[in-house]
Amino acid sequence: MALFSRRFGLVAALTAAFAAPAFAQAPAAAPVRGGALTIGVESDFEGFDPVRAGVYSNSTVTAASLFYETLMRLDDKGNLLPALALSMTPNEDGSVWTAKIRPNVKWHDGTPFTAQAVADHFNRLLDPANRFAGRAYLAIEKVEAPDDLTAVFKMRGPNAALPRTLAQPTVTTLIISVKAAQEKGADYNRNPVGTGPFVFKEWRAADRLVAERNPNYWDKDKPYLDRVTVRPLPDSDARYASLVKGDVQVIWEDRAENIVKAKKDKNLHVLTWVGSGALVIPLNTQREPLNDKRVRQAVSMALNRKANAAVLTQGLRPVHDDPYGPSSGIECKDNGALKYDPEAARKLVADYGKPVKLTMTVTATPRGREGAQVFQADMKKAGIDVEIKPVDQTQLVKEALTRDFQVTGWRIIDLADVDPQMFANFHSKSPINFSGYNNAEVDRLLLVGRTSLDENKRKAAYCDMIKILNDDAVWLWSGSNIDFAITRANVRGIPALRGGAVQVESAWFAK
Amino acid sequence: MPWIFRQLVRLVVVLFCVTLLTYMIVNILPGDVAIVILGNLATPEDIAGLRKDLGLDRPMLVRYFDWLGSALSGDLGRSYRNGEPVVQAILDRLPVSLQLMVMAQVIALGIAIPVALLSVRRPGGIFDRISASAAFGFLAMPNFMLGIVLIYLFSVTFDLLPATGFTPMSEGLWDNFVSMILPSMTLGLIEWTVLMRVLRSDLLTTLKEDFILLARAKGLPPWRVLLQHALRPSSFTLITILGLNIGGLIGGAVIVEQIFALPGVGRLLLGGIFNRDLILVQGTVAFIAVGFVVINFLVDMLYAVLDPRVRHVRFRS
Amino acid sequence: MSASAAKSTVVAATRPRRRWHWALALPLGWLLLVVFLAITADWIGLPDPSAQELILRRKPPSAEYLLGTDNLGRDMLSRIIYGARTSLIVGICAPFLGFLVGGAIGMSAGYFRGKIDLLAVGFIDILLAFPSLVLALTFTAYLGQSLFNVTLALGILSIPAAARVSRANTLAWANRDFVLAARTIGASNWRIITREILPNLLPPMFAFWLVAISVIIVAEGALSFLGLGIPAPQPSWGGMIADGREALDVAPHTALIPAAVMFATVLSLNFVGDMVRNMVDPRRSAL
Repeated sequence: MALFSRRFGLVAALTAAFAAPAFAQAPAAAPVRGGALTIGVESDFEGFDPVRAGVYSNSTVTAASLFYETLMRLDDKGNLLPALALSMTPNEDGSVWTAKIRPNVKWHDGTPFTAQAVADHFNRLLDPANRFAGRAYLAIEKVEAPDDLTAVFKMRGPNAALPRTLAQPTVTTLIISVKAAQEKGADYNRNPVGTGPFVFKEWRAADRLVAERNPNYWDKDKPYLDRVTVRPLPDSDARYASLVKGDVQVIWEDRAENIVKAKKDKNLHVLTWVGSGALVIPLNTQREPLNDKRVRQAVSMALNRKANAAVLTQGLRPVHDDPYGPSSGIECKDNGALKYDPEAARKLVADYGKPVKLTMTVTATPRGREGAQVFQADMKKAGIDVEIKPVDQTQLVKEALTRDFQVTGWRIIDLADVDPQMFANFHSKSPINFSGYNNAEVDRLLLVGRTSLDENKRKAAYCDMIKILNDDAVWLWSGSNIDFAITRANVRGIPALRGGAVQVESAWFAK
Repeated sequence: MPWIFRQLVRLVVVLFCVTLLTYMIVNILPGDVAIVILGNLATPEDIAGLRKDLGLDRPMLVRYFDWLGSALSGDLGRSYRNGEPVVQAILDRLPVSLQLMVMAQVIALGIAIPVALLSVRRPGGIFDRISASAAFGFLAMPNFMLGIVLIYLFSVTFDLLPATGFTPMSEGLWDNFVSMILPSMTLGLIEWTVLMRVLRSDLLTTLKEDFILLARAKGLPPWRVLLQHALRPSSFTLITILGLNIGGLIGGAVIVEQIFALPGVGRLLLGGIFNRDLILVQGTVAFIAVGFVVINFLVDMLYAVLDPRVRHVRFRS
Repeated sequence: MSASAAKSTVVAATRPRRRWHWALALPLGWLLLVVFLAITADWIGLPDPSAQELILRRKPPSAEYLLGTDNLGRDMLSRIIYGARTSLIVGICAPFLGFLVGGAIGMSAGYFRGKIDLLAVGFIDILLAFPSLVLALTFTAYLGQSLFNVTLALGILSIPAAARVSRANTLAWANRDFVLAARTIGASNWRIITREILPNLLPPMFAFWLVAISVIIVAEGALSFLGLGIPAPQPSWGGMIADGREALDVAPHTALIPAAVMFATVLSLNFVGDMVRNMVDPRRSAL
């Protein structure tokens, strides 16, 4: 959902040897309390009322997870940990989940945190009158609170992925105080109230957001830091320079040149997180000539995804043949990917018989231009003409939603479980399946992935599905979702960058 | 004073037309603020519903007069995207833009005045010719190009100044000043050429006047004649040019803020355009247009008060 | 952008007039070279400006790539020459368009005076008070980014400047004896405007047009720089500078070479424009 992130533009991807996630510092020493930390992020924040903000960019999640929390949490290995909920248990078929709420937690305004607050938060998002866009991804029907410490999630059907989905910090899972939101009205978006380790102090637009240590935090030892400042620094070179100078101690980064530089710098430390999801090139299966499978396959075979990405990202962002990512735990022996083969692509085009002309809609950004031109050059070698149509982001979204495009650039975001995104993007009944893809077998497999409580059955379903999708050449996987953060060498305790967010609840400064 | 009255009417009419035109143009932009708010996951029904809630389904003229009504009472509405009051958003970013423009003007004047004075000491002399050529060269530099050349020289090659990014005053006055040097140089190094050439020709005319000859005859040293007798009347011309140039300066500031990632009004405007945040764009454009028109109006008035002939030949160029 | 047009008029020639013979040779030579290359680009054996060799991206100038390669491994020399086409087409056509409309407005205003003048001046004021970037952006966003639309947008931006110049000159000529004489013998307004005034208007308009070309080339560059100009892969100098800006530390030539070419061209245009203006409008050189 990094709609406003620069990476939203089409990024041609690349491959190289797959780099294992390197969570660098072995936390040998005990954490030390104190200190003020400043984080440099890419963009200013949409706001902190999910209904108003609609989406959280990864910059916003970085700030929001200072003062908001999720029900569950994931450690770096992907194990579920309790957070605002002590536990979550399903009924037999997984259609109802019961969460035991942590007692004695207080909102920052002093009122007690209860199961009712959890129910209010999710029900508010689900209420169609509020038009919260992300509800299309939620498999929850409604949430009830039979008592103060029990929240019951009624699902639309059996759902295996709920606890993991709720553990990833996103615009839906970070729980806000609905009571405060109602009292403050439109001002709440800029004055959030949460339960988290830090208390919101001030947000000066385009400048900084400041949060201070929550002395009443339920996890008594944490947080270690006294104060955290998040500064939007949109220019990646300026962000990097601020880090080198020491004005900020952590930055989110995506410019390959800077990451390569930082890896050589002893004073800096690079954090890498390979998430699920991918950068993708969706093909509209309902539009001439892409409604013909031969043409889609030709496009897929003509695009030299891996070689392009290796050069353009200096090997930092490998290309895979599925959007699952190592964090999902889904590893397919055979993903049915079509190999790069411009000759075969030429033959398919010849077989199709008519000249193939495509229009690619991309964002009018340097990166959008770069990716589109590489795509164009590859297609030319297979005899496919591509016209580039640069538009701005809102226009691109509109064309995608109304299926008014042929080829575009998109991104499947990093989520703890692959179900919500896969279902939304490929199920024939999903309102945001903008490739217009319709395949009964894929629909069936998506339902297995959504409903089966057997982890192995789910994984098998996703592997069967990817074979069909790759053979049908619906979406081309042009890059993996990898996030990088760079810290000063003395910063410790930053967990995996899930969704590209930097979370500092357990961060501390080494002496 | 009928003349003043006429001018005021003109001012109001221009402002009305500018805001109306902006409203129309901003509204025919493709793309949709409802999508910006709801995100890339929204359903078409939600989008239509939100458009209705925002009043975007009403006729454009009705919406315009609504907007105008509250704008006149000082309320420019709230940003569609994040609910920030537009007036607040502008005021938050205005200091950055003002600092940029003021520093640019200081640099421009700091170069233009000494160069013009030195040039007119011997018109056609070696210094005059070199400075004229330099001015000619700088004038041919697009601001986005000069910005990049300056970054390359001062930041990449010599590592003297930060390439981009803004340090607010709260982080320290010195750091703030340093972060603004390259951006204001980008504007100032182009601006000075205009000022210098106008000042130079103005000084040359003044130097031919009787009172200068008189001062010379009295045996005053040449630099005193220049500074005390010639520069003072010319500074009035300079003010006029500064007023006339404000438009170019604002346009330049938009681009410079973009190059150097400064959180000013220009970036606010560009961001608003890209996000189809109509109400933000509308408010910002109106603010800039009002500023521009009012400043020019004041300059005109000043001119007229000091030089009554102008009232009759108002439309000079 | 329109304000910089006004800027250029303010800054009219202060150069000494005598030595223009040799001083004109260099800029004129450069412009002729640019025009010649832009016209003949297809026939002088240049590599395809959009042919990529990703492995060779951002290589410095060498024997094979005289000006190096850009961010996608394309030949910079070829892109600069094809980019000259973009700049020249937009630079020549946009002010022409603006001058047709603006010239007509300015002439009617200067000739008929009264209400028409008031309206025209109001119209110009409004256009000048309007942030030109928003206008240009609207056009390219609404109509789609293309060479034609960018030309159209910049053409509209040059209307106010053109209207001002033609109005001021018309005002000066409309009171001359021969115009008054034509009027007394009963010549129609149309005849007076086209036969008596227009011919006198053309030389200063032509001189101003030359300066406007350079202003428009810069404006097109600024649009492309912001990503709102000609769509890729068609090369444009502004777009090349924007692409190169991303790698100023590792491959400065990708930004600095197009910047230098653009600078030389704008400088030469200003130079030649000034010379021409001094020839057709001697009063200006006395400024």
